[in-house]
Amino acid sequence: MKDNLFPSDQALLAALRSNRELDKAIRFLYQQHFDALSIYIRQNSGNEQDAEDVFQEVIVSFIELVKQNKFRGDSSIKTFLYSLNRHIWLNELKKRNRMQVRNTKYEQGREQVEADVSTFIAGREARQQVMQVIDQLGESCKQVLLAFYYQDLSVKEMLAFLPYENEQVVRNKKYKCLKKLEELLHQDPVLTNNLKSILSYEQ
Amino acid sequence: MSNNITPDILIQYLDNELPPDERLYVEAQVLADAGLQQQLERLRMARQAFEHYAIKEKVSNIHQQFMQERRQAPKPGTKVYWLRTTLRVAAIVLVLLVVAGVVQYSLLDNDRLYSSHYEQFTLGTARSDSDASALQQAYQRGNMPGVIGLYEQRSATQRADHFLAGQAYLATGNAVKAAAAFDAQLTANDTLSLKPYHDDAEYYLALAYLKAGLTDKALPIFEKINRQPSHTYNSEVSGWFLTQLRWLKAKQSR
Repeated sequence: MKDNLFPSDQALLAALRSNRELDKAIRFLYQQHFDALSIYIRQNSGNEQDAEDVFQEVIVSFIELVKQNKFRGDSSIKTFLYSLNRHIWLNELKKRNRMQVRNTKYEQGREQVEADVSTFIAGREARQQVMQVIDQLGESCKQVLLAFYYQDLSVKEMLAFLPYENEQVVRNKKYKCLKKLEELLHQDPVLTNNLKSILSYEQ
Repeated sequence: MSNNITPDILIQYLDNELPPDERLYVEAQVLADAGLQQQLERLRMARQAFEHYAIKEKVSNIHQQFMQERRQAPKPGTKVYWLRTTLRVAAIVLVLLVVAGVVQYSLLDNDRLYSSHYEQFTLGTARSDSDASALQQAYQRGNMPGVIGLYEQRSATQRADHFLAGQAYLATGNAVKAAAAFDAQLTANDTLSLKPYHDDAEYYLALAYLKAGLTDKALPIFEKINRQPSHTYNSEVSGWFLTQLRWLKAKQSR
């Protein structure tokens, strides 16, 4: 049975912006839209795994757009997710370079997605590179940065579950980890440029 | 670093952890130093990239949980689906059977059932022509009017002449007289030890009744043949044939 935690699009958008309610909101999106969006993938040359992968990307992209206030609400969430799903999948098909017919579909599909969203999706590959760079930070760094920048925990709250002596040690660890990430970006000018184009869109 | 602005201070600036005056100082220094600008930009990118990483991790975890729950949970509606499908198929089969039954019932008549089972009897040729009666010889030649003529002249001298006459009547479409001749053969057999063409006479008597429209008389004979596995014509009288006969009898009794 689908739950009804978020009776309106506005309630769901508020939850997506709030990190504390994000889990519930993501689950809700899965329950409401996974099956329907999967059908589109499976009916257009994709398999079950493709459908799962694309849906994950749809949700990640949607959350980021919402957090950056780039989802203007011109359409319903459902319609917007369908557009993202179609666009990401057609983009993937194009990447796989399977058939000319699909290129045509891609062009048609692209016209239907808001232009700025297209730009957002175009940066997906750069984001995937970022994921690989972040993996190089190590688990302890990722844990501290997640707590700071994602879970919105205070330093005092972090001390409850992080293996550090005091608040200053936690702060120093954060500085050290973020600097390390900055250095990794500095060492890869191509990735930095790609990211720059994404961030210029985001700002 | 070209001045006293360290990366830690830049991070504090990005995280809004600096007091306003220090914040203004950092902004002024960044504006004046391209190297600081680039570093601040990279740190901002690092933060945003990390946020993307965090969202992706969270979605990935929920995705795994969601898919696992789906795989473990019994598929809702599966039993209902199969029950519905089975009932639908059963209903379709039932409707088809009813339609077929109605069609069969409406098409049932004596001629149709008779034609489905009647086959003209072929007399064996083992016996030499010299031993055969005139009637038998006429039958072997296929001269049915001749057989009937000889039979009606009371020239039936051989034990099987009633039976052959019955066959000749049937072949010429006179079912009533055919039935009488077959019945005469069976009566004659009562006094004989060898009982020539007994099974044949029974079967064709029933067919003659059927052809004559006397289904109620034909049915008991066919039922008897069906009950006797040793009867020569047992395999000709199936359960379905009996069912059709019963339907026909019911139809005629209305």
